[in-house]
Amino acid sequence: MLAPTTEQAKPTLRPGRKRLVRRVLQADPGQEYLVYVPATISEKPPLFVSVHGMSRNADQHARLLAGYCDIYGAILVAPIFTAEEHPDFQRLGRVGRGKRADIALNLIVAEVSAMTPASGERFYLFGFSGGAQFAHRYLMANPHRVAAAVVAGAGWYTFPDATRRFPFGTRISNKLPDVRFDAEEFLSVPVTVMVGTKDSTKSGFRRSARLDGDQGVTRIARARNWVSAMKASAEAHHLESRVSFQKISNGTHSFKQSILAAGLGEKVFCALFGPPPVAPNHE
Amino acid sequence: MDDGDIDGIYTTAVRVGSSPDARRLASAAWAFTTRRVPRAQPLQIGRQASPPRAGDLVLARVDALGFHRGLQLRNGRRKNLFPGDEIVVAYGNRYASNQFEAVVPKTPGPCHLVAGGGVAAKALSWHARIGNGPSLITPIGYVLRPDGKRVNLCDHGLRRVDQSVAPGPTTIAVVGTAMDAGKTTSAAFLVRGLTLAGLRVGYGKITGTGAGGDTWLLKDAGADPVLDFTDAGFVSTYLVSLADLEQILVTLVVHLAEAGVDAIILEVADGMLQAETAALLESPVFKTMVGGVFFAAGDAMGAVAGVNWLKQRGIPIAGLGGLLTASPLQQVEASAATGIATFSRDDLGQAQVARGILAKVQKLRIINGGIDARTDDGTSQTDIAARA
Repeated sequence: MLAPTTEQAKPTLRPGRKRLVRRVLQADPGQEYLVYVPATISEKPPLFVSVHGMSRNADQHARLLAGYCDIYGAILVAPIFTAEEHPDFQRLGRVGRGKRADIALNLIVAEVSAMTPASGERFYLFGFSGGAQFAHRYLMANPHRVAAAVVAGAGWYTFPDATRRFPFGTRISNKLPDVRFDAEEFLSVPVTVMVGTKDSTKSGFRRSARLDGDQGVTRIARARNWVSAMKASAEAHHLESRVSFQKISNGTHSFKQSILAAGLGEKVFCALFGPPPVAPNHE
Repeated sequence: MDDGDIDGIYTTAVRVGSSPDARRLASAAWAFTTRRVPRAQPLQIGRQASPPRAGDLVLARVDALGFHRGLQLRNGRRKNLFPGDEIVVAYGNRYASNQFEAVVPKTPGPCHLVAGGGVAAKALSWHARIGNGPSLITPIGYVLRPDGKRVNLCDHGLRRVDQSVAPGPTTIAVVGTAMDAGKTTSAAFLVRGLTLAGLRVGYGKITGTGAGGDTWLLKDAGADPVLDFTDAGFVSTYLVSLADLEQILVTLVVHLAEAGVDAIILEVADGMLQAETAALLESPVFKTMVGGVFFAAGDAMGAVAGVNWLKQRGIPIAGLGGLLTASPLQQVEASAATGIATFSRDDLGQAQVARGILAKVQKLRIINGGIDARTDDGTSQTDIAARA
């Protein structure tokens, strides 16, 4: 839900100030985010949201992806979900586990769309690792807000199974009392699932006998199984599947390594916006 | 085999032929909403991807139980549901402030059972007390006629009537503040009182979602015939156009009148802030067909707001009642604030009281020059009430 924008303070972020800005959310001073406006943007530039993982490296996300936003003319937003405020952000922030991360993102997007020409109605969403967990759960809960998404290196997934409670499935949970999952809607969002070919360790993410049995024992297996489940669910709903799977050659579970050495950035922006208008530049 | 009570055991089997599809359909539990679909035709199962429409019948599998753990069958029995059960229900929209808001899904994919009478839909929101959410079902296929077209309830309603020209029996509509305000109970006890007064009373539920509970209660109270919007070919009335609502009203009233009843009690679901209910009550057709309303309120303040709403629209009020009458203090508050007499369900169940309410509406109709001021044979409705 969009928060009402305040009339008293309307700062603007204009193109030309080619810099990364760290801002405090007016509606919640405890919430910070990074925003980057490229030097050249269209009248209605797309809004690109990049969500960090458990290392909370939002600054790294913004710095490493800002160049791609220059190429595509997209305004970048990187929310900062701190461990204190958002200990459960990757599962949207269930009752008793900090603030709701999905609501925080909605407020951030509303504020940025009020300060820039970008429309906050639908935006492009990317998440890596824990951020990928957040991204796919956010789009399943808020499909009308997401134009397209890339989910990269998630440790585990919420499956499109309405018989199992969230976060394992999409059955409602009293831990997220106002969230409803509408399969017809979230299955219609274009989603690309990415995982590095070297991201094959069996540790560093949530493991249990049940999760391993249901989803697999590596991030690669879990990504494939989630994609298969989303395709099967689309088929059950007589919908064309909008989910695809892409392996990132030489990609590891390091965001920085994946961007700098495995071409993750190009692949993410290409998946979201199509081929670049000019050749990607790593400067 | 037929629906009904055989040696004391209710069955739900239907005559649908001997093909594998027919046998599968015959072994499924057919919901209350499907009760007007003829059972002696060789039906098929169509696994089509095209979008469902309100009223389409669908064979579905129960995947997981939520709020609705039972299904009202064609014969009225409530069947307990188990995961894996196969049921035949109708696609439809639902507006129920104490349960679900639901719409016909865009695809024939997995969806929800949103009414115990057998309605398949996509639940959009629900009351906070429904912690488990809706029961989950997966459609197996549409129920098809022998000619391959989908079975839809709109093809199995009563003869449609667009206009009523003949004077009809005095008609009282029970309306209320919201769902569960006591409308159906008020209607049932009013029917009971009029029946005890020697009148033959027909009942029609104009709006709502297909479910048997209300109609069975009204039958038990003595109404005959008992009809609802499903008899007019609609599984529910949420998101139905005003023209269709008016046609439901006219169709049911005319069919009840043709059955030779002395008085008609109608019920309009939900509260007056609900879009379809408001549109219907403001319709000139409603004002022509209905002599007055009995208003059921959940509390005294709701009664005041509702009475004002009705008065602003020139709709005559025959009495107040509903849930508020469970509290003597609220009853006093409501009467004092509105100047309108309140009636508990026990009051309404008394012949003299019910007859008095009917007579009041008849008087209002005569004053307003309505079509039910006089009966076909020229005798006034007041005369009928007096005879009773």
